[in-house]
Amino acid sequence: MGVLLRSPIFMAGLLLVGFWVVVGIFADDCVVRPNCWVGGATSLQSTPWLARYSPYEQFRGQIRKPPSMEHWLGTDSRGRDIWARLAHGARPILTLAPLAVLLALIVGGTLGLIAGYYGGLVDEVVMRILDGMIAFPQILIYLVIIAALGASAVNVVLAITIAGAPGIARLVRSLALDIKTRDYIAAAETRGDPPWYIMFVEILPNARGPIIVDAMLRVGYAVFAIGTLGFLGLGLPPPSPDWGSIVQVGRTAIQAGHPWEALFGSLAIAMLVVGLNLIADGLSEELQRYR
Amino acid sequence: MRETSHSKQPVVRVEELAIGYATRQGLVRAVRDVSFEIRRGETLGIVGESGCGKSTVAYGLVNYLGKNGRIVHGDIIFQGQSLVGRSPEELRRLRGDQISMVYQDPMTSLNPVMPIGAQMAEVLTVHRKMAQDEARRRCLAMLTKVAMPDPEAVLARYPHQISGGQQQRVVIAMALLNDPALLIMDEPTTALDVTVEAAVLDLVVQLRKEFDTAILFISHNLGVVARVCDRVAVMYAGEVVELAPVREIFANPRHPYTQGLIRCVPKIAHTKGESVLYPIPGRVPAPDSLPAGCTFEPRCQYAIEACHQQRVALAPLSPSHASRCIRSHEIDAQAWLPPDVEVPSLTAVTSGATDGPVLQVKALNTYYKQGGGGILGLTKRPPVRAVDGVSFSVARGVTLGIVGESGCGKSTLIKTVIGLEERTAGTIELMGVDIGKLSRRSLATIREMQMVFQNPDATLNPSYAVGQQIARPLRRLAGVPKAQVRAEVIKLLRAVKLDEYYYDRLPRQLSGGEKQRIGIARALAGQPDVILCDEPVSALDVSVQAAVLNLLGELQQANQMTMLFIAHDLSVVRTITDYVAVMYLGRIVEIGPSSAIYAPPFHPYTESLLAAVPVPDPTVKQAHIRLGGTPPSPANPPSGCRFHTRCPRRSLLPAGGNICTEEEPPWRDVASDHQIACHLTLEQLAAIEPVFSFGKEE
Amino acid sequence: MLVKDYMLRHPVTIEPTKRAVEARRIMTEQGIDFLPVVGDGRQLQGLITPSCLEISPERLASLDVWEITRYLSNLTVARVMVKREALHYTHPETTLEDAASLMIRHKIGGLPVVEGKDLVVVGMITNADLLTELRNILGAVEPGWRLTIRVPGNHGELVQLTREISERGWSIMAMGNVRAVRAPEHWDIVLKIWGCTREELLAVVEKNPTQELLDLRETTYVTR
Repeated sequence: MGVLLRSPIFMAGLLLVGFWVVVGIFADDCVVRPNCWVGGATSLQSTPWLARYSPYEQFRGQIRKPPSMEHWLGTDSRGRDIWARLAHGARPILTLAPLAVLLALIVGGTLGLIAGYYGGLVDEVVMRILDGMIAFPQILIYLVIIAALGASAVNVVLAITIAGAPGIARLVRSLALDIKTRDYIAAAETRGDPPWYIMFVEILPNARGPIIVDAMLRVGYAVFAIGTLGFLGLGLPPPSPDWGSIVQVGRTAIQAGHPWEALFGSLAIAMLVVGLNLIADGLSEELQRYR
Repeated sequence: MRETSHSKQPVVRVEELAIGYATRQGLVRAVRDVSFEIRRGETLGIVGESGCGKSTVAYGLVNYLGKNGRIVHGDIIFQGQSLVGRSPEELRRLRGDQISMVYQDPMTSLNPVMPIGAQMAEVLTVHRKMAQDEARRRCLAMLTKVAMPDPEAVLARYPHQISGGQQQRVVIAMALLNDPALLIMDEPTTALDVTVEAAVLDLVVQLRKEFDTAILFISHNLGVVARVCDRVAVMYAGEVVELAPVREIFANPRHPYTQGLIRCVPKIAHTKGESVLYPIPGRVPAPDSLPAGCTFEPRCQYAIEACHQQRVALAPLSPSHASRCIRSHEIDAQAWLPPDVEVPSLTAVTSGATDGPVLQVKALNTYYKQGGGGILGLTKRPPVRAVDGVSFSVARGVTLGIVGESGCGKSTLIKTVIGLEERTAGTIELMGVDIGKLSRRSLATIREMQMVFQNPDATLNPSYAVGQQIARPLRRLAGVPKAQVRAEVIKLLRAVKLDEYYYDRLPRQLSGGEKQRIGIARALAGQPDVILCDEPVSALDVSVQAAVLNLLGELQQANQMTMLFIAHDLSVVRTITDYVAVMYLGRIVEIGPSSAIYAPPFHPYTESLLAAVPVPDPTVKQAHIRLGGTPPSPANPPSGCRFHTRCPRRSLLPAGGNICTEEEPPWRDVASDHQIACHLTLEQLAAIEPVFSFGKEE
Repeated sequence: MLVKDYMLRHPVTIEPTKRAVEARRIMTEQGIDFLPVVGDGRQLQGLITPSCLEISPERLASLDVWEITRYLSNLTVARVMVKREALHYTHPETTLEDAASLMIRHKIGGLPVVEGKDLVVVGMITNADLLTELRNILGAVEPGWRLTIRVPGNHGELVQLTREISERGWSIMAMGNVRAVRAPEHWDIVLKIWGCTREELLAVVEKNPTQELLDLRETTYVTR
């Protein structure tokens, strides 16, 4: 771990991602007020901290203003503070993206382990089905699922999980195929250890390096995906602050000479994704050095 | 004898070479104060254990040290000019023109997607701008010179279509195409079978004479070095500790490390009862934590106070012999006394002395299905008969060695016995009860049979501490209650001569020998009756190998375990086993007491194996028998006697040995416990000259 | 007895861009008189001989001490070498006598040995190598009786002598055969014979009156 902190790539990534994590957590005083969790994000009673304003507050006469001391990143078409909306918008994106990847890991990892360890017919059947899913463009899968189930946070997570699991399964399977030829797996078999033990206790921990790196990249993709869904109007329902929909709304005003909303919304997404990618790069570099 | 007046100036002279690697901890000097020279037509061997800097020296010569390595001191004079500080472009040209390298793995030098002829010709057409047909003619001539069977056809093949030994021949031929002044060979035979290795070594000796090339030959194997080298440099911890002509090194080693190395190599002349291996205590120090004085001092039994004080220089003892030891003049290898460490004395066991067999295998077959051939995989292909009709039985407390070339089915046999592979036919009886598939075996059966694996780096799960890995079989097989596990693990650690503090170590913090000990401890946890060892020492350095062999022998004897021991090294097999089974293409061709099969009468295949063993003693004369051809595929074994395609003794039979191709050979009983499967009669087999003659000088 | 058997393989070479001073150092250190100059792929470009490195006084006369140093350090191998066009060379498959003729005709002491159309240097053959061959032909490294006889240029003289020797079970270790310098119609034959006494050998030679005994002496091993 200490080695990681000396890697400039990893640190840069950590800084970018850390920025949004801190901003998201301390956007308002919700972290210290339990009743705000009950009321949900729409509660207007919270006191803004880092966000400075509430994301819903509309300032009279302050429509589509460029950045100023009052409004650091300007205001949107309804006179809301863009910085406050971005700060609050970090919350759903930073919760949903990792959650979706975690779920995809559990599902895809298990399928990959089973396919890789058992091999033969099991492998053939599982992998063919997953390959079939990979054959569809991911965005199409999102659209189909959201269109069928309706736009909600849960369904967004579900869509990303389903779209991400086959890729993870592929990776885990290939790692399992390699690791299962090692002698320590044979040793476990010769002492009669059950397959679940061999898969989850003997194989999985040794595959963790590449899996973690891959997961980091996938969180980046998930951020992207959530942004895209928001952009297409399939993300969180308005008026929740959602980066994707901020860009979508702002897009129409670019040609009218008000690019701030779209610009800062895109920048926020880019920052987070680049940060996650840098973390993944730093991790994989250190893992390789370590090997 | 041709004699020319050519000046005896060395082709390459290395002076006080030091090579360092930049690491995060600073500059680490992997090689220090190395000096030697090689003349035309001379072979200098560099031997030493892994991590001694042998390969670093070789790569240093051509400045192939990677991004973080560089020559920090000294000079390399090649053909009168210094190689240090030359531009990469100049060095690249030199490598192409005058220096060639041959590596351990031939595939690293061959392009898998290009026919052999094309890549060989490329050396000449690109570098020397030679015409295509002229280049092809030369490649053909060179392949003929390296004794490649059917060179014309080989030119059109891809690297994966020829065997490992042939690949190495192609690489050597390629290295010689430019007629290099210096040829660097880094463990060129380590990846090859012993019979192939012998042929490649013959080739090296012959080519050196013909091309007058200076050769730097790097090997960890003392026997290989004894066979091909004129002079030998022994390296230890980045320094040359002894440099002498090959006969001197073996007959009169002066450095304690050289003496120790020679003592811990199993001798083919010794049987289990006679041989005592003395491992060198301790391990090679890492280049960043060298002792202050003599680098070997911490492991040296001759060390005195002065050794601890300062670095020792390589000092000449005679014009041709130098040693890096301040006591070289007083140390006499002959007067050496064993140190005060326990070395087990093993006694050979014969089956007559014990009761019924513990393990009995009858007509065992293990076939692997092959994927279909042809487009769509519709054509059926014959199965690979990895093990084909093997029968043997082993009594309690007896060690059976299984030897043979790679691909002979010895590993498959052992894996089938333990249940990692499924048998196709036959029976495996443990104490008279047939044991089935691994998943159907009871825990009690599983406990009776455990295995020690080959690769020390793969035998332990890198994610868990040593203690946890030994604890698992203890809990599972021996049913030790949780509270006592730690105590039991420590008991096992002590049994394999490791300290308590290894309990919390992770595998990556251990050396190869230590990992192998943990592997043995893990196998012993369930107190098995039968222990199967799949080449447990072949990946280890000789000094460590000796210690592990001693440990295995001792534990086996103390616990009265039955042991199956696979090895490709016949000397190793002889020092630890009571019986030996020789396998060829899935069949046992000879089985008998280890003392008996090393002398006639023996199976012609056993004879060839023995003749190929590299013996670390240049005074031992070995019969020159080399197997021709490549081993046939076990998917389509030859009819009759499977060895008939390569048998060197077939001509002793009437009608050119027609019977060998038609009929399966009968079992001939030499003694009640010694059988040979051969058409030759016992009298004919007994009349064959012994492979080894231990004459002093010629 | 071809050039390839007697040449020095892997000769020390130098690149044309190196300085002449470097060439001199190498030749002194290696104890050689001929240094082939090679380009990429060891193609022959020229040859450095000791006379190439001699500096003509008239050339330096007009220079002061500092200029001389500069002149010398700028002198490259390419400028001083015997250029390929003016150079004689031979091939590995050439006979030794052809190589020798070339050296005699042009009064040179050494020839680069090259291979192929692109003249890749594979060796170097010098007069010392030819002398080594002469020594070996005459069997200097073998012990025995060194017999020199002069015979008329008739057919069968030599055959008869060798038959006599082999019938007695002696061995001929070496043999040389040359037209007598001062008696053109005669041949001088040198034989190295092992396995007999002086008297036995004399008896055989005296049997044939046409043979004239020139010299007979015993030789021992010559240290190499």
